[in-house]
Amino acid sequence: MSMAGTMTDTAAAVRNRPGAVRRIASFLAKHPVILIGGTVLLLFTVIALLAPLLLPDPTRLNPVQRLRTPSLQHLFGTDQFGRSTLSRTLNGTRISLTVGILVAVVTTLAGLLFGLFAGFLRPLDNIIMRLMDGIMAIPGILLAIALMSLFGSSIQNVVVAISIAEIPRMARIVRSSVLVIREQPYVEAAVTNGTKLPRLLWRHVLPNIAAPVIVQATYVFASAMIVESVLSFLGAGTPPTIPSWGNMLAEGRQYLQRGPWMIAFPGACLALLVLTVNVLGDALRDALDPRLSRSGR
Amino acid sequence: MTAVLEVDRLTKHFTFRRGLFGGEGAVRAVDGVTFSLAQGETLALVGESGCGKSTVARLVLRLTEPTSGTIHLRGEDVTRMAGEKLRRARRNVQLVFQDPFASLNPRMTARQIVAEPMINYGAVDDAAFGRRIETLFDCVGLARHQWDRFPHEFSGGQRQRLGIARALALNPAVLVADEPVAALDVSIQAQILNLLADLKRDLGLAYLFISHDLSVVEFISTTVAVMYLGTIVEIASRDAFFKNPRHPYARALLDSVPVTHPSRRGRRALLQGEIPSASALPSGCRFRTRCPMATAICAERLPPLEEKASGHRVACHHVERQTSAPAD
Amino acid sequence: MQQPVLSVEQLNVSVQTTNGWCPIVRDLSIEVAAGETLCLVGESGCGKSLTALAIMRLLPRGARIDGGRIRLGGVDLAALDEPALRNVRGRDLAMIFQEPMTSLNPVMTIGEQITEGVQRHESVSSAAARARALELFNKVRIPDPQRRLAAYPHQLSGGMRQRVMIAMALACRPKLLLADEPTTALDVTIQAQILEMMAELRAEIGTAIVFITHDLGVVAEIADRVAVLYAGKIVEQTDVVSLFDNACHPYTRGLMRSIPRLSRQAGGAVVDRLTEIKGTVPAPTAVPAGCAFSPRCASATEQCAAEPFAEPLAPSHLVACWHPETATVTANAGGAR
Repeated sequence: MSMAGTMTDTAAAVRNRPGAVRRIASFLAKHPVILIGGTVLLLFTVIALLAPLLLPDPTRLNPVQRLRTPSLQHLFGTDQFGRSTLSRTLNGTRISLTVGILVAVVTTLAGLLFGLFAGFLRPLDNIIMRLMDGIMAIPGILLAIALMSLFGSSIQNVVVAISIAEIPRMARIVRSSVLVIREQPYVEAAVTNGTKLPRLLWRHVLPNIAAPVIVQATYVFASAMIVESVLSFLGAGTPPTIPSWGNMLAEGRQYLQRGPWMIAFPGACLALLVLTVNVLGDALRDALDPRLSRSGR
Repeated sequence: MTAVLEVDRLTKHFTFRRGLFGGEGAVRAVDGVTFSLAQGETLALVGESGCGKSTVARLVLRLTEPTSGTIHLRGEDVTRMAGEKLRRARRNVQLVFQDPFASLNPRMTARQIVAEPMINYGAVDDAAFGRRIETLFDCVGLARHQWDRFPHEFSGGQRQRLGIARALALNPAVLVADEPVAALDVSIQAQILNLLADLKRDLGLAYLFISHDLSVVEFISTTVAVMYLGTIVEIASRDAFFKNPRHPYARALLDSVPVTHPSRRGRRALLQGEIPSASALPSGCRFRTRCPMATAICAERLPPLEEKASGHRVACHHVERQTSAPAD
Repeated sequence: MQQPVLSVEQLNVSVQTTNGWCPIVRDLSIEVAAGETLCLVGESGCGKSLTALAIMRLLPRGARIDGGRIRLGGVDLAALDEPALRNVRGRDLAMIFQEPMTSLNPVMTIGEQITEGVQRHESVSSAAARARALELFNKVRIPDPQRRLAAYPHQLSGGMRQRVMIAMALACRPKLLLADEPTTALDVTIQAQILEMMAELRAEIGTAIVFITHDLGVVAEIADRVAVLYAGKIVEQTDVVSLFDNACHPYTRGLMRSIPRLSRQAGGAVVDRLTEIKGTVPAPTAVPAGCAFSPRCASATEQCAAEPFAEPLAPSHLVACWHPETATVTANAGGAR
C-alpha cells in the first residue's frame, strides 16, 4: 500500500493511558465530595452488615431497663420495652439500605425497559408514556399506601410499591436520553454497518445514557428510604416486629417528652443517610456530565 | 463497466403542518434525481445548503425511505427493502461522515469501531480477522498501538481515518462520503483527500462524494452533478464541467469561489438574492428568481435535464444543444 | 506617518487547563492602519479567536492576558476600567462573529437590537435611531428593510443575519472592526456577496478591519496585509501580494501548496496528488520547544531547537524562521498532470 507517507500523526499528544486504578484514584482526588459521600455510605453499609453480629438482639424485651436515658451502658438509651435504641437504630440501617438499593435497582431496570422501548419504537411510545403519565398523576406516597393495603405488609411488598411509584420518572429520563442519542451520527453509522437492534441498544445506546440514569438512580435510592420511613410511620410499611427507622419514629412519637432519644437517633441517621446519598447524586451528576463534553474536541 | 449504483427519478418529500389550522405543506427536498455510478467512478454531488445533496446520500444509504423513484444497488432494488433483507444489502454501501467526532461511539475503542461491521455480518474474531483489522489500519495510516484508544484521544484527522477504515471494513461497492473534509483543518484536508484518492485507485471503489467545495470536487471527482433546490441542474464529466459549465447557477457557483491571488480580485459577476424557501418553490425553473437569463418560459415550464453536448446534461431553457465540441 | 488605529505589542494570552495556565497566544504584535484590512490566518487552536477577544477585552472566564499592550487610537485598553471599556465597545471597536444566530438576541426584534446599540452610544431620539437603522440596512443591501426591522432573528436566513450583524457593528462608525470568521458558516455564493459588501463599506466608512479566517481564498479576496499564526505565534507577516507571490515561511508555503485549486485559477491543470504537510497541529499543552513547526518541517535542523524571532526579510515582511524559503512561489507547485 502506498499509505506509509501519511502515517505520521505524531503530535496528537496522546500518552499511554494510566491503568484503571490510577484513573479512579485521580477521579476521586478531583471530586472530594464523592470521596467523602462514598465513604459515609460505605460506613453505613458496614454497620448494616455487622450490626446483627456485634449488637444484642434488637427485639429482645427488657422491661426492667425501660426508658433509660443514654449512658455508658446503653449508648442510645432504651425504648418503652427496654430494647436497646442503639441496637435498633443500627439494625434499622439494614432495612433502609435494603429497601433503598432494591428500589433503585428495580426502578432502573424497569425504567430502562419502558424508556428504551418508548424511545426506539414509535408505535409503543404513546402507549407507554400515557401509562407512565397515569401512574405519575397519583401522588407517590398515596399510591404506595394503596398498594400496600392491597398487597399486605412485608419488605418485598414495600419495595414493589415504592418502585411502582418511582418508575415513571426514570422511564421519562431514559426516554428523553434515548431520543437524543438516537439522532447521533454514531448510531446512524451503526445502522449503516448492519448492526441489529439488540446490539444497537446494548452497545451504542445504553452506555451513552448511563450518566443521567445513574444520577437518577441515586435520587431514587434516597427517595425510597424516606418513603419507606413514611410508610412505616403510618403503619403501612414494614411490619412492626422488624426494627426499621420508620417504625421507631412511629413508636417514639408517644414518648417525645419522656424519651426523645427514641426519635432523635433514628431520625438523625435517616437524615444523614438521605443527605449523603443526595449529595453523592449531585456530585456524580456534576462529575459525569461535564466530563462527557470535556472529553470532546 | 456495470453500474454499481443506479438512481432513477428519486424523490423525497417531507410534509409538515402549517401551524394549528394551516393544513399540510411539503418540503420537496429531493425531486426527480437520476444518475448512475459505475465502478471506479467518483460522482460529486455539489450544491449549497438546502439543495438536497445530503438527503440524496441518506436515501442511497436507506437511512430514510424515498417518496418515489428507485434505487438499485449492484443490480438489486433496495428502494422499499426492510428488515433483514435491507440489513444484508447494506454491505454494499457505506458512509464516511462529515463530523469525525460525532460519528464515532465515544465508548468504543478504535479496534472495536473498525471490527463492528464485520462482527455484525457474522465474522469470528480469529487470526484472519485480526489480520484484516491490521490491514485496514495500515490502509488508512493508523498505527497498531492506537487500537485500544478511544475517539477523544485522537486528533480530528485521525478520527476521520478511523471512520474511513470502518467504512472500508465490509469491502463495499459504493462509498458515500458526506463532506468528509469540511470539518478538518486545512493542513489535514490534504492528507485525507490524498488518502481517499489513493484508496479509490488501489481498491477500485466507487464514490458518491458530497461537497460544497468546488476545488475539492475538481481534485477528486470523475463526474460532477450540480444540485439546486432538490434537482440536478447540470451533470457532466469532471473535465467537461470545469472547462465549460453551462447552467447559469453552475457558472455562478464557480465564479463565487474565492480567488487564489489578490491580482484576480473583483472580476466576476456575483449571484444576487437568496435561495427561495424549499416549501414555497418558484414555478417552472427553480433558479429563475436569481437567474440573469430568466425569461417568461422559465416560469412556465421546469426545464428537463437534457443532453446538450456529448455526456453533458443541463436543465436550462437557454442553453443551446451542441452537436460538435464547443469553442470556448 | 499616521498613528495606526490598532497597535498590539507582545500580547500573551493563556487559558486555564487541568494542569494550570497554558499559554495560547505568545508574543503577538500587529498593527493596523486606518482603512486597512489585516487578515489573521491560522488553523484551529492557533489562538486567532482568543486574540480578537483579548483586544475586545471580552475574554471568557478561564482565559487571561498575561502581558503585552493593546492600544486603540493611542488609548491603552488595558488601563481602562469596565465602564470606560463599555463606551469604547460598540462605538470605537466592534466585533462580528462566525455564528450570527447565537450573537443575536432571539427574543428581540432586529430593529430593537440595532436602535439599542445606537442609542447607547449616541444620544439620539428613537426615531433618529430607527432612521439610521434603515440607512444601514440599505447599505448592507437587505431587501425590504422596513419589514425586516420588525423581524426576529430566526426568521432570517444565515446570510441575512450576518448582514444584520455587520449593520449593527458599523452603526456607530467604529474605528476598528474585528471579524471572527464571519463567512465560514455561509454558502459560497452568499460569502462572495458578503465579502464584496464589506469591501465597499470599508472604502466608504474607512474602518480598519482585523479579519480572522482559515481560508486563504478569503485572504486573497479582501486582505491588505496578512499575519499567519501557528501554535499561537505569528510566523509570517506581510502585505497580501508579497504573501501570495513570495511566502517565505515553510508553514505558509506548505499551506498554500496543500490546498486544492480550481484548474481555471491555476493555469488549467489539475493535480492528482496534493502536497501534504505531514503531522498535525500540536495541542496547546504540548507545543514543542523552539520553533513549534519544526517537527513537521522539511527544512528543520538543530538550530530550530531555539525559538526563531521575527526577522524582516524585506521592509514590512516579517518571517520567524531560521531557514526561510526565498525562491519565488510558482503558480502551481505540486505534481501537475
